[in-house]
Amino acid sequence: MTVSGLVITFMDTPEAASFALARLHEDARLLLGEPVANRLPIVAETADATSGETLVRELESIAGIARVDVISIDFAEDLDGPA
Amino acid sequence: MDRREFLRTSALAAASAAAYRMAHGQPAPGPRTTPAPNGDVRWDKAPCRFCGTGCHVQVGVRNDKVVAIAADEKAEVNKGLLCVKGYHVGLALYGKDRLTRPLLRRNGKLEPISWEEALDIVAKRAFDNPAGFAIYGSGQWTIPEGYAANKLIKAGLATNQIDPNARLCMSSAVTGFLSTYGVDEPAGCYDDLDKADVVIMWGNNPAEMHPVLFSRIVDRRSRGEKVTLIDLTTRRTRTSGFCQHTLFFKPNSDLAIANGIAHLLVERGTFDKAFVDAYCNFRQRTEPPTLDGQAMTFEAYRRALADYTPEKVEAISGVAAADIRMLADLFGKRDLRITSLWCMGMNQHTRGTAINDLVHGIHLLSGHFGRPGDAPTSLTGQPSACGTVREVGTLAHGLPGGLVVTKPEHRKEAEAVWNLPAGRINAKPGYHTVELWKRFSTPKDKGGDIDTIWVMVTNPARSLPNINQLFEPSRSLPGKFLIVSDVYPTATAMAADLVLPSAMWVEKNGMFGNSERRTQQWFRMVRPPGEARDDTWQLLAVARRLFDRGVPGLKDKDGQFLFRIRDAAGAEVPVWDWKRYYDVNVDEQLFEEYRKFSRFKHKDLAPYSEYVKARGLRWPVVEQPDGTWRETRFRFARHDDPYAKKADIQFYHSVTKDDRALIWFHPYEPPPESPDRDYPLWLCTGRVIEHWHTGTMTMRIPQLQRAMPESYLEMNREDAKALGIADGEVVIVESRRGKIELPVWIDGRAQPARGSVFVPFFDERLAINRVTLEAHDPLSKQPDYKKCAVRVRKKERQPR
Repeated sequence: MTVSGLVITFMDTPEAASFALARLHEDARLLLGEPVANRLPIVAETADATSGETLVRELESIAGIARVDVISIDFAEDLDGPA
Repeated sequence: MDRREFLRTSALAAASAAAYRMAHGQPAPGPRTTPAPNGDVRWDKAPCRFCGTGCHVQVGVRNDKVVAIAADEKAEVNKGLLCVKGYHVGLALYGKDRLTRPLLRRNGKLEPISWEEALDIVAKRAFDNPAGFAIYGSGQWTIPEGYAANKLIKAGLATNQIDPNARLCMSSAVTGFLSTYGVDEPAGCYDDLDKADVVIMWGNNPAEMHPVLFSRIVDRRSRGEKVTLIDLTTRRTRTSGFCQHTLFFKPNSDLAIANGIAHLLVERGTFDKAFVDAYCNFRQRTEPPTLDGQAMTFEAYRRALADYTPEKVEAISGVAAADIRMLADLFGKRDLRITSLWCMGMNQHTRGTAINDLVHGIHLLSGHFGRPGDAPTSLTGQPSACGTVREVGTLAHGLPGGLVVTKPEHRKEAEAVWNLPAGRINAKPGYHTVELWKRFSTPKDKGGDIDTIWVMVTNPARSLPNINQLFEPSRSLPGKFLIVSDVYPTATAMAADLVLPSAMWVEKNGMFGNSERRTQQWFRMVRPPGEARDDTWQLLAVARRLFDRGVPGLKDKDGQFLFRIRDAAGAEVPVWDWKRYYDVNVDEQLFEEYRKFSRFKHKDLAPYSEYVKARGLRWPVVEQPDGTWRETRFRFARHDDPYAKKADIQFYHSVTKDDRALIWFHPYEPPPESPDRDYPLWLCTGRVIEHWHTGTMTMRIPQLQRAMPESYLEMNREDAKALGIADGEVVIVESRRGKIELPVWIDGRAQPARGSVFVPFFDERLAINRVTLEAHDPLSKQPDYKKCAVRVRKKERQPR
């Protein structure tokens, strides 16, 4: 499993942000932190770094999300896997 | 807490801290959240291995492997953020084809040999013909690596045959700073980006090339601050999408735009007369051009600019006269803070020094200088182009600390620091990059007097311009011997006669210097694979062999080895023996010696131990009465620079020795090659966000390779339509020098203007530098990768 720390930036429209937040709550791969203004820190757990990358793209495509910044990434499992 | 829970907690803490900082523009109150030590994963700081921004990362290590990367919340540069390359930087160590043994070409094949044999071969090449032996280095060298190489060549062999790849990326910025202020490197720093009301990007695409810096500006807008972004560009890029004004100009016409702004400032009387009267002189070029030029009066300057009316500038550049007036209006306002940013667009230019001078000149003329947010700032592309090339002086004419070999007093200073006999250092500069490789690719009996080049940490087989002429002929010429120290089998390594496997990044101790004068330090965290070893060790081991062979230059004036490294008791440590190399901190000792040079040009560095504690410090770093060390953010400004004492602004290394900077006039002139009937399109080359330089590291990181797997030719839809070319189709792009095949991308990430195409250079398999030209700036000797004439045609279908 790969664990990544991300920051979601919501769009300024409250309705769009609420819609995006609801979508994030439904995603079992995500642990949501405390929102700070229109930013939300989250932790994503995915099978490997590639799935993490796909997840970031999925998040970016959710209506109401303006931006996704990756803050940290743990790729130990990728390195420990088959050479 | 198990390992998974620890990682989750650490990740959430880092993300929460970053979210707070992004939302409020300042760190969260309370304790820092940088990952704490854990029995499983050990964390330490390091600057990122890639670009010149100088972000710090936290590196997580477990079982002698880098297993995690986190943005470093304590880092002032990136404030807890990273870009896509940064958070994958740890994987750059683990490509499956790392070089792990020295290799020698025998009967056309590279075969493993011992380190002893390999180093003997290098030393013998230098011993047999020192004049024909050169080192070609890099802005990715660490500071101690570059310092050791520079000392080996300039003190040891006394030939000055050393030049770095940074010649190809920022030497015009160097000559621009020298000719304007008399001393290199930006006066401002990244703090300007937090204070500027207007940021003008001169041929620069920071949204892709320096994304962390760009997001720092864009985040201010998202917090409700007003920042006007202006994109002066030849193609629509990701940066353009964030800018209020995107002004498209014809390639090479930036000099006319700069002159147009200056013309309006002068004619309208909106220039800052008090600033100019107090702190500036006027200058014009001479033939041949020099960094000193020739004095001119303000009236002569005004007359020279008279031709550059907005309408005339529009005719030359394509930028509307109204937009030239808009730019002049902005510079004419004292209450605004204006920062100019540039990188390769202005530097890789046959008029690179001139356009650098002109942009500095606009800031000086308008008084937009020295206040936080008011700065002309060049950015660099490599992590230590400033630290290792510009400050350590690894250019062919340079000496450490901004000294040069051509000045007797500078040679004397260097000889004193290095304890050399008087007259040891050669007064004649070595060959600049283009000349060096030209001579390496020319038969000896036709003037090709360079017969051995030792390449370290760079890939000239893909990054030199016009490689068909500058690189490839050497590979079949008798007597030419190419040595490559690298971590992967790059195109250059695979063409070499001798390959030395190197340690990289956190596999060794290191120091970098970023774009804002910030010197950074890190410790070795993991061991390199196989027999890969530090570049500094390689240099010292070769130096010792030359000493043992009796080469006089390898002894100081007391007869001691030039690179004497001692233990705490003062006894010499034989660090040329790899087993003993890490008995002491070689980096620290080399740095402490190098630091003695830093005071000559007020580039003062602190002791090594201060950098261990910090996330970098910006020079001049000056000791305070209480024994602490203070960095400098705004050079030449009395409110911050301890060396500016006589006035609010003091250019204390002034060319004219009167504490004044120079405002230059340079005319617009056509480029050496323009599109014509046979080659009707402009070609511009550059980078993309996913990859760094020739892709030797990032193309081995699966996530980045998949995100951008192959190079392409970006073409304007109308041009493609006229040529009957469809998106994705393979075309041949061809200049007078060479050709390659590439797939076309229409309306992709960026859109070039009609009549121009763009090709990134990250893909070793699709070498666009077979097409580019080696024409270069007369002063900086930096080639122009941004414009040459090409034609594009569909690849004919192969008969079935």
